[in-house]
This record gives sequence, C-alpha cells and structure tokens, in this order.
Amino acid sequence: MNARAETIKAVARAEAGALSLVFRANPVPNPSSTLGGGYLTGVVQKGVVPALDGRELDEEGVGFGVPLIKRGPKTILPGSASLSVLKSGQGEIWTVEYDLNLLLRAGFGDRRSIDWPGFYWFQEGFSWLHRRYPRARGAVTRGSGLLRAFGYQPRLEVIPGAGVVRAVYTFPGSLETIHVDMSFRGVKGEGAQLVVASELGARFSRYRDSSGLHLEGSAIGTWDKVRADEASFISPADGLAFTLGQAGGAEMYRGRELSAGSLAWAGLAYVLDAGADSLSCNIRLGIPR
Amino acid sequence: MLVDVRLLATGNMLVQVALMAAVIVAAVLAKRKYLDRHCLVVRVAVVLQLIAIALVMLPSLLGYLTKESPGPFFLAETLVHHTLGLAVIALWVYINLAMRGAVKASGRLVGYMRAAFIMWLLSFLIGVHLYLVIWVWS
Repeated sequence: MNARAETIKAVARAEAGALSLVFRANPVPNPSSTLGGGYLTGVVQKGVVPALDGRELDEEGVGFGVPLIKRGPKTILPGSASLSVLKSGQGEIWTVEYDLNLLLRAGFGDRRSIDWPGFYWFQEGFSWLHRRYPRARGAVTRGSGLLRAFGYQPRLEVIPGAGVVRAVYTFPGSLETIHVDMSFRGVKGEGAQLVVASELGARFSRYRDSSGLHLEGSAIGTWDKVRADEASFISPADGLAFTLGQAGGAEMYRGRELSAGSLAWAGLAYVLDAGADSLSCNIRLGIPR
Repeated sequence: MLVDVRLLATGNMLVQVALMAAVIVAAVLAKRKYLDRHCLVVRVAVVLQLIAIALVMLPSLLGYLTKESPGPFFLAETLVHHTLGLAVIALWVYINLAMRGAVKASGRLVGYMRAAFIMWLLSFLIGVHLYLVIWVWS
C-alpha cells in the first residue's frame, strides 16, 4: 500500500458519493456534553458513524465497532479516544485507541449517584428479565417509565481508566466494507465481559439474517442471540443496510429499542468468549438485498 | 430437562413459608433494636424471593396469562398476589435508597417497612390460597 504518513486527527471523514464515514475523537471524557441529540450516549466516545448526504445515522446508537466491558453489574464505556489516519490510493486506515473511562451509574434528580451495589445487581436482574421473558418486557418497560417519572436517570461518570482498547478500521474508497480489528489486551484486570457494539439509529427498523429470519420493529427484541451466519439491519427510510457476520471467538446478539427521548438504537453486538481478547469482523454497508 | 411442575410449586411453597418465617424474625429483631441483624435477614430474604419470582413464579404467571384460561376471580387473585409481591420489592429498594441518601424519604422509614411487612404477609396468604386452589383442592 502506497500510504501517506499517519496523522493524528480529531475528526476523520471519508466520502463516496452520498455516503460518508465519520469519526470524532473526544480528547477527554465530558459527561456534561450536550452533543448526540440529547441522548446519554452523546457523552460516549462513539465509533465510526455513517452519514447520508451529511446526515449522521447514529441517533442514540454508538456507531460501528465500539468496545465496552462489563464487570458484574458495572458497564464501562469509552469516553475519549485518540485517532490516527493513514491514507492510500486503495482506501484509508483509521487507528483508534479507546480509553475506557466512563462508568454507567444511576441517580434520582440532582442527588448524587446511587452507590449501593445491590441496586445495580437489582437493575441487572431486571435487564435479565427483559431479555429472558419477551412477554414481561411491557411490564418491565412500564416500570422503567414509572421510575423516570420520579426523576430516575442513568448517568455516565468519569472514572480512572479501566484500560485502552485498540481498534483499526480499514475500508476501501467505495466505503462498501469496513474491516475492524480490535484488541482488548490493554484492558486492566481480569474477569471482564468484553463486548464490541455496532449500533445505528432506531430508523434501522428491519432485521434480516441469512437463515431467512425477517423481523420488524419491537419483534426484533432487545438482546437476542443471532444464530445465522450473517445479519442485517435495514433503514427503509434511507434505503441503507448494514450487515455483520459471525466472528470467531464471539457470539453475536441483535437488538433494537425505541423510546421517545431516551432510546433510539438498533444494531448488533459481539460478546467475546471467555479467554478471547481480540476480534476481527467486517461491516458491509449498502442497499438492502 | 423436564420439570415436575407440582414438585416445583410445592418446593416454592416451602421456600415461601421459610421466607415468611424469616421476615417475622426480622420484624422481631427490629423491635428489639438488633438493626444490623434485621437488615441482614431482610436482605437475604428479599434476594431469595427475587430468585423465586424470576425462576418459578413469573414463568408460572406468564403461562397462566397466555396459555391457560383461568376464571376471572382466579386471574384477579393472581394479579393481586403478584402486585403485592412486586410492591414489597419496590419498597425494599426505596427504603435502601433512602437510607443511603440517594432519594429523599417522605416521612419515617419505619412506616414503609411496616407497610412492606403487611404487604408481604397478605401476598403470602393469597399465595397459600392459590397453591391450595391449584394443587390441593382441584
């Protein structure tokens, strides 16, 4: 590859006609950020975000190829990253080092965040119920809505870094496929569940996979295992689809949630097998087949 | 793995009797000002109850709501039983959050604790009746 020298950047953008890819590196985590359409994930260091005619398609989704870790009931996300860009005639290579320095917590109104571990285990239990029993989801969602009426809100707080995850995004000039290589070797400590999320907005309301499964809207579920070789999310409004395949050393899950003002995402996530510390996958963008 | 539903229900009934006894013990401990032990007993009882709800009672309820055709009185009784149970859990969470300053308690916490005890007792009694209706008297 005949490449120009690597440059450290804050924003990277690649364009191919109406489609473009964007990455914005947060130099420091900023929990007070008002970016991201007012969603909580606006604070998170997002991954590669596709845009159509300049309109970014992430909504509450975190973008493509974003690492996060779970330690028991604790979820740690990246709040900042460094980005370097290598360009060549064949395409571009974006190298990102995500700093895992945001902890998902909760609180009521202006009061300090809840520091009782039992509460987060309790919350994890409700998340499990939500995933395990589709018929109970309505009640769990209504309960969640009731809590919000009393001022309950999730929050992201800056913590000492739990480690650095290195991601390399490689794509050709046509932007048809993004190859992602991710390494979790920089994560501190052991026993964490490693996850790589690829999410865009809830406008991607149709799901198709290579086993012939077709789902729409709430039928997609919020966290269901994908057993097919390939899975796609389609935005009928934009005429765009993104497709991921199974990756060695990981299980793939699909989900979509839409709730006015708080949730608007659709996508796929890889949960790495115990002992695995790296992941490679391809994300295909294009017209739905 | 096939599960004997009657055995599961009977096992759960025995667990509920034990938990009710534990809650009564917790009330006595509180009355005698052994507050640390009171908190410990309640905490263990609630966690075990959550497990029983998630693994036995919730699937059973969902089964009755979607597959069975229970009479209206039976269905209402079941929903009251579950609502009381969930209210107990919600109160327990609220009490713990209030004790940690995460929420502002309206009034004295002991009032909420007594309400939780009464709701747990009522839910237990209704649960005993439901068990007898389903597994003993039918």
